[in-house]
Amino acid sequence: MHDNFVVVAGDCKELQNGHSSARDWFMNIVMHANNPDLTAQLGRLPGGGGDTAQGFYIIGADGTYYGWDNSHYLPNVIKFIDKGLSDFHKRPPAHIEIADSQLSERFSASPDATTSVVRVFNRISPLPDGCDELNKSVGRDHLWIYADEVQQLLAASNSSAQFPLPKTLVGRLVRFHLIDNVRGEPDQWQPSDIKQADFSANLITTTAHAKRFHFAAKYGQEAADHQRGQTGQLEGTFDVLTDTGKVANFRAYGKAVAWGRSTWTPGEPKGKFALVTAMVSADDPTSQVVPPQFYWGNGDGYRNAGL
Amino acid sequence: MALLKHSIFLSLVATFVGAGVALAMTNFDTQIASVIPTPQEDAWLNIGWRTNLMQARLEAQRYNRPLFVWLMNGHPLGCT
Repeated sequence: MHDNFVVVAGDCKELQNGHSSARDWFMNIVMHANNPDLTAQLGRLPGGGGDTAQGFYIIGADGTYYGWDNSHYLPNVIKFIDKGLSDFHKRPPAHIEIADSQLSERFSASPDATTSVVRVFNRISPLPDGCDELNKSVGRDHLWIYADEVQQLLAASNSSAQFPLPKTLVGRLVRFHLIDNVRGEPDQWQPSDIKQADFSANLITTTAHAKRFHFAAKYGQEAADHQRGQTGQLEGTFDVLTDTGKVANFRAYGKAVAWGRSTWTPGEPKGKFALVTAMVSADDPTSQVVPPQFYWGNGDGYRNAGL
Repeated sequence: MALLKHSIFLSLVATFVGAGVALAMTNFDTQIASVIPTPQEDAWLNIGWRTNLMQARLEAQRYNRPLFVWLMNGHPLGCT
């Protein structure tokens, strides 16, 4: 892959439904791909497989289409890669010019300079005997913590020994991040699904450069049809840096008893299973260009997550 | 040593602030590490994924290579 391709990863929703020249360029390729399997995937009705362009594409810089595949079966993927590379050399792309405005265009939603990013991992552990292979996967996401929530924390710590975490942060955690995303994209929890969300914090140390907080939580969610739910606990520590007002050194661990599946996460273990969560601060380049799963198309809803 | 200090610190915190919440911060670092992906699980991140499609087009042209584009509902690098 290193030597033969330029590899790109992205959120299909941004390239399929966003507003950018990248979206226009990409979807023009998709609509002219003349691939019946891709057409079928794009045309499926809700409940029947999803109206999505997601998958692997091999494309020339000029937009020449060399192939699409949404199989994750390794032999098929390798065959797809080999054929796409061969076709590329048989039909090389034309030379193109790309405007500077397109090159500098914002490609995905990014956190602003005052927003803190925490990487969230979910895993099923221990793995039940005989469960589907997909349950061995790791769910990944980014949690954004906003500047006004940090200010609320600081203010609360000045007036009380123990205080609740900001409501919007709690809402974001229990609706979007404390969730079984191990086998794929989960259905976000609705406000009415939240049965418990007790998040309390306290200030534990103050230095010249930071205030360190501890927090602990109990939470529970259950879908209206009672087919999916969880109850869990989460605990951690984090610093608020005095100079920047940003969160650093965020570290948390959670454990829940979960059951059921979301629309696109079949293959869940039978009965109840243990879902564990880790949260750690992130400031690497990826964390700055990959928004939270439930941010896309719902920035305000993510920002002001209600309960 | 730093790890030991951290563990002691967290144990003290857990004792101090324990009112009303069942705390589980013993072996906290071990617990977190048990969830974070292993280097083997993260090996695919070392491929060198670009995240800007338009800049990747320019790079593909410069090196005479095709683009391999991986799109999922939920960014592959940050979501499931």
